[in-house]
Amino acid sequence: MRKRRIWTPGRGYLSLLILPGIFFCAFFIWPLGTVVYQGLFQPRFGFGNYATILASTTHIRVLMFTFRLAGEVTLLCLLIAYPVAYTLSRAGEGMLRVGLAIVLIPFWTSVVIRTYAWSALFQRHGLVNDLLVQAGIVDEPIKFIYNEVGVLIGMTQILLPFMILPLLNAMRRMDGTLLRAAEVLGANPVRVFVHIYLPLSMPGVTAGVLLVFISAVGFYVTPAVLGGPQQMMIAVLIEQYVTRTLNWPLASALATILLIATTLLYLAYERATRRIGGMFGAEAT
Amino acid sequence: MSGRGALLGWLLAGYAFLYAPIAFLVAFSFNDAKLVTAWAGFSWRWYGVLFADEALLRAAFLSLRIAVASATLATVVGTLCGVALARFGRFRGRGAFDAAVAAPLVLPEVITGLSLLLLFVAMDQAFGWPAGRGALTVTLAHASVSVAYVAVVVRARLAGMTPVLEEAAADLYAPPAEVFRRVTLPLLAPALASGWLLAFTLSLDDVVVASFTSGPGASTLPMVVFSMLRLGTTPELYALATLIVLAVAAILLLGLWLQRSNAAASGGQPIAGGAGRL
Repeated sequence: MRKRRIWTPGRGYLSLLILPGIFFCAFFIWPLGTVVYQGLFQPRFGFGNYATILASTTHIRVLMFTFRLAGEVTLLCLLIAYPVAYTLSRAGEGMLRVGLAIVLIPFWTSVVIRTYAWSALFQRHGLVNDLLVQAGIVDEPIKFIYNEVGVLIGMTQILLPFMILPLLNAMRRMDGTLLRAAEVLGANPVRVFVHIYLPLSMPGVTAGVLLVFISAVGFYVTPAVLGGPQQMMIAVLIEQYVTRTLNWPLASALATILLIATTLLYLAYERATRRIGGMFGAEAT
Repeated sequence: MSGRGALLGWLLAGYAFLYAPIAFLVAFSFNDAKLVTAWAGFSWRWYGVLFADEALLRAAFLSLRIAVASATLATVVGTLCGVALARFGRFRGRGAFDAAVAAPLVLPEVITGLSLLLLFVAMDQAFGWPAGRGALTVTLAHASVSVAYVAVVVRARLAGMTPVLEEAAADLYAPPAEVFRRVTLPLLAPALASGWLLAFTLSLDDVVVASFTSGPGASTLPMVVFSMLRLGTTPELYALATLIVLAVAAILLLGLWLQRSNAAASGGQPIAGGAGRL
């Protein structure tokens, strides 16, 4: 009988990495390198593109608005999601499954479609304004669309599951005996929450905040549809340079700025999630 | 007690906020009126208009083709990647490597789109392939985004399984390729299915990467919807949206069901553990 060398699955599977390795370099590392290169070397080497960006108040305003709006969306998501995740985490196993499925359906529903729904709801004579006027809450239709309010509401709705899932993950992993110990020792519910529950849920808060903020900073569809000219975000600006003015070097320089910001935030997210096992922990998937 | 009531109310309000736009679309897709503000009775009329719109149907067909092709490609590459990552053990720079594999998951779509656009333009200039931009470049772009998602799913599945079955097969002189084909792959089947569905859904949903990497004459469904959306609202798109929401819910339920059989399959671990003790 022919004898083959005994191999271990670990080392033996190294050859499996060849195809993904090539694919990964060709379609991820190399293209990203090209973006950075274009931003620095086109039309000629130097920081010319970056100087153009920094010298223009429009660009600065877009950058400032992008980060401010991402911060606002993140804060709103956290405020809405924390009590939701808290309530879900205290539910029984069956209820939790149902509750999660309810969160996941909008999560997987196309961003274009949900943005479209908001734009229809928020029209001057859309359903929201009709209801508000009929109920006598306002006399005149409120302007929800082509301004900051619309972008804020739309993005918060779309990114909310990204906050609920990591929060829930951290809350489910919490050691319940610590809470009971505090109760037994006579702490009132508020004190238990502030001194035990809140600190223990912080890894989830950090992960959720970073995840929502990263996604919000690079958001395109919702600000492009629900925002006006004053609500331009960096992704929309990049798209305009690519498809309309065909200024690819400037678009690349802007994309590099976005890339650096995203990378730094992602590294922070990696550190934060190592402790709670990622966004899709045992419960979320 | 009232605290619990308030929390439950908050939960329901949160759900209502998540579902408000979706419920609105579904309800008004059955509205028998051109204007979307007032309810004028139940009707299937917009579904009729939708299925008579050839441009939309063509875009939908193109999107389905791209989604199937890119999901299949991403599943092949992503599975190899996930298996190698889960089974390779520790090596220097492992943390950085893991972070790099998962990075496409959080990379803003405009950056992915721009970088792939530059890549395809450069490839066209250098090799003449892929000539121009169209369905092929969108398929490659979607596959390259989805690989990371498939790898994460496959890896999570393998992380929950001990390698003893593979080790046993190796001890019995099966070469790596055979172990992979006859032991690892069958164990992975549920993860492959959910990874494929994930990649399929991502491709069907994407508008940004597609519009960057597509060319004239190859508009995917989200691209067409997005351009119609900028012009104003028509109830025909509500009907389309309703169908898409139904499809997403069906795919999601299928995925959850697969995950359940995943969980059932990991109940097979005691058997594997037993084999390890022999």
